[in-house]
Amino acid sequence: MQDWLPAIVIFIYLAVVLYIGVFAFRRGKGTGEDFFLASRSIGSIFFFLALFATNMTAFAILGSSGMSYKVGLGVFGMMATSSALVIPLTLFFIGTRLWAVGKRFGHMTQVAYFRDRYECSHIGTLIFLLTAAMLIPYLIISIDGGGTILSSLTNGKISYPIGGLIVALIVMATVFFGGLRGAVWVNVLQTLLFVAFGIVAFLAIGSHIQGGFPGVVNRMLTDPSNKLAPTDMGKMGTLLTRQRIPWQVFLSFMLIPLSSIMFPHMSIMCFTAKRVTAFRKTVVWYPLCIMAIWLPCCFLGALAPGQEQVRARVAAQSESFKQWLEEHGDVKAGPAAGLTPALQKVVAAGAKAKPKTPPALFAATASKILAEVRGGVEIKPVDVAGEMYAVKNPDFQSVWGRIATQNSDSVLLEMLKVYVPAGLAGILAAGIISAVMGSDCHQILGLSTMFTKDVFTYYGGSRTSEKSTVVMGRAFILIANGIAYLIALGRPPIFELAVTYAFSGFAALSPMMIAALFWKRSTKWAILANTMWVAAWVVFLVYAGQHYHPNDKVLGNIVTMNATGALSFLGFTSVVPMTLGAAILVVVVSLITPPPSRKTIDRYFGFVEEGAGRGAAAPLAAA
Amino acid sequence: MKWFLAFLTLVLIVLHQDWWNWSKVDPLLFNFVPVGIWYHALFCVAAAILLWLFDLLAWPRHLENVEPEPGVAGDEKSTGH
Repeated sequence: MQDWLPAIVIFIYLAVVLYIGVFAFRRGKGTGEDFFLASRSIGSIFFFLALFATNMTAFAILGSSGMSYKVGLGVFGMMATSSALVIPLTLFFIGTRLWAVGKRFGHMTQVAYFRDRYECSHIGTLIFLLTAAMLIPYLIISIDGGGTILSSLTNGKISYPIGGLIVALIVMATVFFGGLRGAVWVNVLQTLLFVAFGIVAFLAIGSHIQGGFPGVVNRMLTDPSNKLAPTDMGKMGTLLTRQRIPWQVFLSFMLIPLSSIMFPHMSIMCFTAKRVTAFRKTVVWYPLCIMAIWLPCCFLGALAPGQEQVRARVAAQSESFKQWLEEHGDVKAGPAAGLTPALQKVVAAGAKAKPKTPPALFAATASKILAEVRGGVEIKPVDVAGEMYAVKNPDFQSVWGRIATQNSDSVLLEMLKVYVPAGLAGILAAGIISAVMGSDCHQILGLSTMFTKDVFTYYGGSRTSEKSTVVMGRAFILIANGIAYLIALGRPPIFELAVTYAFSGFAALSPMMIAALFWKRSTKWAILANTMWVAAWVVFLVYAGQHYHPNDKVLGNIVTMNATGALSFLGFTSVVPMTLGAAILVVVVSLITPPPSRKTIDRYFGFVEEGAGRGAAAPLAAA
Repeated sequence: MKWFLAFLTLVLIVLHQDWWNWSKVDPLLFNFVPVGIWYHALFCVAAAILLWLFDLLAWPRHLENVEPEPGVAGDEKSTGH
């Protein structure tokens, strides 16, 4: 029953979500604008809550705590507080302008805006292809996340494929019936749940930890041997500082939040506000809500390595470790022979980083531990993981750290299972599922809107009716979600890689949006150059991620793979050369190519300047 | 006013880097919250205040009266050339 209790709570939550989606269906008008944009009628409070849910993915809860587990609480400053400043600023400047051109010219997507603003056709199609290609992996990752959470919380009673199917079906039904209105109504519940999640989880876990938070912090700070550290990057106490994050990486992350407004589903949300004043409360509350979610998650994640029980459970979730335990049938066959290919890969990477660590050392020690723990009876992965941590050899620990933190995103779920009563864990898990589903609804609806409006309607011309537009939108939702689910079942790692780089890709598309909204002289060739630049980079980054290993040199000391396996440019992350290069390209190409016709420029800037000239507040719309 | 707000934004960007706290844990707030966390919590509050100032002093009021272009009635009509 204990295993099922969290699942029962989650099922109640999912039933409520489904009901709201179906209820929204009854309020629908059956037009394209109503299905895709809720007739541009979303009021201030709903707009804020829905926009926030759209923006926050499962990463805000699971990813943030998982990364803090590995590199410390500097993740909060690096990813959350940079977003707390930059995202509201982009909403203030870019979001309000987007809303205005959407209202003025009836645009529903970024592509429709670019096509009309720059008098182009196929360039718009290229933008559609690139943004769709960078968004699709998110659908797969969302389904994957839903399956993992349900499976983990019920200790496998609900299998991963069934868990993923449940989440995919509920999301699909919500947007299939309710369209954007359904997604927004569901978002209200979801945002409240996952904002509350952080605070409740913090209090619940804090009250159950032995010695409380002060006790854990004190242990981490006074541990001289580093034996508790999950990686070899430094002493345990460094997790409570920013020492594990290079300053170049920290600075690079100031550019990542520029991606937010360029995600198709986020810009589509900007079109849905009833009035532009809906942005006013949104931009002020945004930083505080980001803090409410991220701060407790990062803090809990950074403190988790100081709790041996949690640490062993996280290590036991490592895929390569689990596979090794399952397949390590014959210990007598010799230590190295016992390593699976997946584990061998991690061990080899560790050995490369620390030449003193031969794979054989790890293999021999690990096999010995396994033989001892086994003792002829059933093996518990958590027990083996605990013994692995107890090995004093630092070279062994440097490799084990890599293996043990492979699935660090599970750290918060493991903390819930260890410290929180099952019923409350279910409610908190509903908060996590909310973060998954809230953004997933908008991603799939955003893709559907783009496909229907930018391809189906655009190329179908006047033959497409309102009804056929909505039918096509719904059909796309069914097909895309079905395909995403089937791909998620295979759990292909390439999608995780693609998601990693999609943030940089969308951030590097922001110069063309800024130019389109604020610079009359910008041209369609500039946005083509920006699009192709980003496409080439994303292909290169995915290629490099697959063909180079941590600490490899790609181009001398200028372009290298860092210790975590990400490309590094003089220490900065890829978003820096991508975004700066894109900005330079947009300026240079605009200056050497002809701008759109005077008529189009006047249409797009005239109505803003006229409004500003009528004695309104000082215009920030300097063209 | 524009320049004042731009200056404040720049100040916050610099403050965000807080390299002076890079390897520090102390002072511990409530005996368990390291400076790297509470400093950035304060930063979020500062960001909210900055956005409130933007709203107060630089809100693009001229966008409030935007109306659909003649011929645009509810759904998308401009589909490029």
